[in-house]
Amino acid sequence: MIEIRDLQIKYDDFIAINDVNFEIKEGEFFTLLGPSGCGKTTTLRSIAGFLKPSKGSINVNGKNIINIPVEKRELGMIFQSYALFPTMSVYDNIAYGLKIEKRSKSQIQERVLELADLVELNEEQLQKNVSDLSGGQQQRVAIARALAKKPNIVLFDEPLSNLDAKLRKQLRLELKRIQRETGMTAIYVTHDQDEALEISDHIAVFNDGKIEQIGTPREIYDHSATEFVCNFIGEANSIGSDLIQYINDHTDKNRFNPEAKHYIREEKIKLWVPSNSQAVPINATVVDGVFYGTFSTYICKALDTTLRIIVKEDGNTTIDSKKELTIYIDPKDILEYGG
Amino acid sequence: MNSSKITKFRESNYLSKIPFYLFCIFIAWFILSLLILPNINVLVDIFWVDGQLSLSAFDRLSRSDRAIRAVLNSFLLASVLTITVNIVGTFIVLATEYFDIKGAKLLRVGFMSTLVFSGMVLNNGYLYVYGQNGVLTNLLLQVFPNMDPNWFTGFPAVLFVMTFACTTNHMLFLRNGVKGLDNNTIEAAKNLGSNQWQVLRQIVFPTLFPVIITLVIMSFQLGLGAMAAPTMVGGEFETISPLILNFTQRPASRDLAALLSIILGFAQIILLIVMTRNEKKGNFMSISKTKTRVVKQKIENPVLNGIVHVLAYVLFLIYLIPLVLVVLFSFMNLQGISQSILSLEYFTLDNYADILSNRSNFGPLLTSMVYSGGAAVLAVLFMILVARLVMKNKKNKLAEWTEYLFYIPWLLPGLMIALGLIISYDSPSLLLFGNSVVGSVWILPLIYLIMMLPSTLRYIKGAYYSFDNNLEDASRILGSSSIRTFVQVILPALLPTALALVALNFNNFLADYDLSAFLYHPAYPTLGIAIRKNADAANNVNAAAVNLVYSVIIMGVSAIMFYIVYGRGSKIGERKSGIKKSKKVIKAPVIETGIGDTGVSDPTTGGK
Amino acid sequence: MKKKWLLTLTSAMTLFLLGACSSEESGENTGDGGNNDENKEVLVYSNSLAGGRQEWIDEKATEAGFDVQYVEAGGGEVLNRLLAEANSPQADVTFGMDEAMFFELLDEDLFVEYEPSWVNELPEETNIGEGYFHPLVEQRIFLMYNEEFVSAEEAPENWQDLSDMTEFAQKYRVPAQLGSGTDQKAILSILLQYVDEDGELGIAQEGWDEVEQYLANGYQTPENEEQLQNFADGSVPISYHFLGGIPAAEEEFGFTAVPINPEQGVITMREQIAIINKGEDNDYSAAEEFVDWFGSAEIQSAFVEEFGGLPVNEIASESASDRLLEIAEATEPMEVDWNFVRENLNAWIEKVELELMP
Repeated sequence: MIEIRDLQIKYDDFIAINDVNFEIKEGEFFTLLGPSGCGKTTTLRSIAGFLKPSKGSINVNGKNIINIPVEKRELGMIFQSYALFPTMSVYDNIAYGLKIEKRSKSQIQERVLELADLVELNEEQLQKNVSDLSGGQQQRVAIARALAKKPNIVLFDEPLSNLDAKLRKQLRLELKRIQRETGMTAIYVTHDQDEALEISDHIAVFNDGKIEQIGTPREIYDHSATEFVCNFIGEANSIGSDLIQYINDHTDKNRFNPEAKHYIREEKIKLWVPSNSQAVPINATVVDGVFYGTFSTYICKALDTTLRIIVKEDGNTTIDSKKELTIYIDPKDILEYGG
Repeated sequence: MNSSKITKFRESNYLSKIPFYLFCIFIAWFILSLLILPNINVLVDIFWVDGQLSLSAFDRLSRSDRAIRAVLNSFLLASVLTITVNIVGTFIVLATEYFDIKGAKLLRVGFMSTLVFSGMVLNNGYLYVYGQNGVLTNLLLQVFPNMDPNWFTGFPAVLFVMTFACTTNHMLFLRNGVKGLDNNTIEAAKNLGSNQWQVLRQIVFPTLFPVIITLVIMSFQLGLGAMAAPTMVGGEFETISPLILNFTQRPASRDLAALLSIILGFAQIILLIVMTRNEKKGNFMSISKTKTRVVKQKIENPVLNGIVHVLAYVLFLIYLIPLVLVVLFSFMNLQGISQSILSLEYFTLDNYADILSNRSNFGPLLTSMVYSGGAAVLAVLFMILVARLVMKNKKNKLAEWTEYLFYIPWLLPGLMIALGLIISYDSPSLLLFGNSVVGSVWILPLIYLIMMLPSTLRYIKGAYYSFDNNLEDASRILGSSSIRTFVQVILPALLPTALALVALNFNNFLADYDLSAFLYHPAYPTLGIAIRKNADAANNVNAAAVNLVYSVIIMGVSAIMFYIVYGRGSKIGERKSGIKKSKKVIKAPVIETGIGDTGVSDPTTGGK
Repeated sequence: MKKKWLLTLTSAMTLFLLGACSSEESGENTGDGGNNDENKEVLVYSNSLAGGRQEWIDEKATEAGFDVQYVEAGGGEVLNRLLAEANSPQADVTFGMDEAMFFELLDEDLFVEYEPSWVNELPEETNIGEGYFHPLVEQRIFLMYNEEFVSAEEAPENWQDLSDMTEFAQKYRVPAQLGSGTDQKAILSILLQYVDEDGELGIAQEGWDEVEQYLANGYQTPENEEQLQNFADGSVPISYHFLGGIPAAEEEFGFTAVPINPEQGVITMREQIAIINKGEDNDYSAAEEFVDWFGSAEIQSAFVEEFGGLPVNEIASESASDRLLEIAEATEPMEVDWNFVRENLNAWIEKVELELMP
């Protein structure tokens, strides 16, 4: 449905993004993820039409839209700062796009009420001034406003980053629900990897104006294509050269290049394994531990490497500091970059 | 369409660009034919004598101790004033908006009085208190009979008057800043164990820092351009602006005026650059999205609380007594006025009856209201558009220069700009589409408009910083055209500032005399002309009384204007733009940077 | 929303009003030219219209069949405006100001030659305008003292005497600014006694020194004080004033002024009237009629009876008030080369302002 080809955007001489390519299918929830300044918002704004690419094309249903002005693109967009019109009531904010389409009063009212229902705003709130609403409510208004004209594609520019953690989680689920209910295609910009993993069908990880990897959340997590992606998504332990050498020594083949960098995700380090496992047992010393209720984390030292491991609490295991133990690392879980 | 230049403009619709290009052409025409050409012509006219450059003005000025002293005095005044005005200004804002002071509403009225009570009239009022026959002087004389009754003169007197007269900007802008503070940050600081003073010093002031810097610069400029106070109470303490006005009025001395004015103008431009830097550094006042309104802080220390209360009310009296006396004296007859004695014996309504019964006085009032009102509205609308262009193309050198060119009127006194227009267009000119400015009705409002541009642009630009850039994007993506976005979204958001500016500009030019005398159309004399006619000391011994009555009338008109346009307007505006309660914007709520009216660029209200 | 309408409404109204004004104006222009004898249109520039004068003139002029419009401002401003508009003059007639200013305007070729019907009623020596401008009202600027506080013996004999009289140090008024004609004349009263071709700007060094000392020893009235009040209550019992203003000032402030007549006499200047040069094609008949009418003995008499003043017109001068005639008797006009003054006045004033004023 949406096809971005060889996209490049320049600010004066500075190349903000380069060589960006991706495709989004209809009804998909597609996330652009990356640290700030990586070019994800720039990409989104060029899709919206606020920025004009210096190279490349943006095709929607096979048609290049880069020369179509913003207001004719028929996209919805939700902003980080909500960008609600301060001089209008909640109702007028939601109705704004419909009024531009010159819909009849009754049509507008019907649609606004429908949207209010969708985003769970009540009628009393509709008559209020936007500044009288809480942050979460304001974001609901922003969503309703963006959806008013039933756009096929909705762009989200870090819409939840200004909310507190709990509200963020709650609205995240709601966004997903609304996306499913309306069947829209969502392009979502965030720097929050948990959010990206939870909400997306596909993720494009941006770094330094380029896409590092595109894939489903699981692909990105389990098979991070680059060291950057590996570090940016989830938590990973860096494995030192001594430990890699040790693992190389204890496996059939010399499978790891000692010159490369190696990582393993915290939860992939096991304290016990089935007997048919390929995992390499390693002696380690516990340095510190924290109890989180359903799980605990331990900091262990093994050869030249400090590892953080996650252990699911079943109520039976207690691990003391300074205790020696054996940990298991399955070579297939080790991510290798460069070399 | 692929060049990077076009990306800067971010506009991509051919059709919607037509008005944009037309507007660009209009700006280019305006700058070229109304700002650059006339001023070059007037400078050439002044400095080119007999076909060669004459720089004798430098020589004549440098030989004049008086002129050099005046320049130094202006800078001295500006420097010291910066400190005193900001102390008083900050105090009155904190007293009315931040601390829990009993009767804050009443105090606010007093502190806001300088909005309408300014210029010569204000100085006159202060003299009724501190002057030779002033109320306070008489009291002091009873205690210290040997005291010099003329004690209120020179630098200290000028400093005193201006310290209180120049806090208008604080009441407008710092007040908005304090109102925009996030109460949560204050509570957080208290929670971390800060006492009230620490909260103020470590949380409140740093948050307000950009506004305060702007105000520091504005105070400095007010000091530099000081006009009314040095003339009225300065005595031997002379400053530049009265000299400039003086020299401007004599054709042979105009080169001196131009030179002095350019000195002042450059000081202004340097400050402007400093201020622009300050703006660029960021206006990020608060990143909180769910801001809570500041709860007025009760001062915990009872002694301190008492002191602050007393101070606030003393200041209130300092602000209000001169105003009250001006109003009262306008009801006294000439004996009462000239001896500064308030007494029922001298009470008379004749002063008012004379002026109000004369129907020919209403025409000029109406003319002045239309001229300065029209110029004010158009100047604000024009600068809203220009500021938008400038803000949208921040990195574009052309846009940057466009902005600076609009500050040209700061470089020369109004009279000289008027002269430039006359020199350039005293016969029908193609640049004015076959019109000539001489003898036209619209040249006077046009000059008003030109003189209003620089400070209007400053303030409007500041206001643009105060709201979310995404608003515009949001509107566009909902299908709204650029023009519709501008009218429905941007204009309403700018409205409180725009209206305040209309009112300020209106007041500045309502009673203009110097420009009027030069340019008014015979069929439409202005208020300034009418005042002079009725209050010319050479022809009317009653001049002082007539002046007082006019002062009171002008204050009344200004006050009404402020009430209609700003008082009520800003309440609605504030509510709508959400300044009061929660905040949706990252940028500062209101960092309105502007450069105050200086005697150079604006004629003082009530002068002459 | 309401506010927005307010703004729109104000803008619309403004545009409308401005539009209305200009269209009205263009209507006037079409009727301009003074061809219509019924309605003789004249545009007058003058500094002598304040204090009810304009209304009075307007009433009489309408009776006489004129349709007069006025531009009224201070003398300096009227001069500036006439000079600025030199390339497309607007005014038909100007009157007021003084000889020096009229010479300056004459230099710019701003007048047309005209001999008014009342020219023969003027004393010949007063009519110095080379046929281009003619005197209306005489004004003398003289030193005076308040007889209540200063006796004839104590009083100075000449302006420059004051600088050495310690008993009057800071007790005589000196100009605080030199914007107004009267204030400038105080300086001229001294300078013109020291004319010297070789001196700076045509004035001997002694003259400059005298001015400097005169200014340094005197009292500059601050903006907030009324100099006449100071004169009346004796705090500044020596001052200077213009003749026409004396009767009203004496009445209002309750003093009797005694003029001082130095050996060189007192500066006497005369307000003038002239027709503005608007090109060869212009029809000057209305302007000429106006000059004939306004300068006539009949109107000048009535004018001074109403507003005071000393008409140059010998027939009209009989109508001047007794007090004015009394002072006029007590002073003698000083001989002044107004052309010389006009050439140097600006430079003199500038030098005094820049270098000599305290």
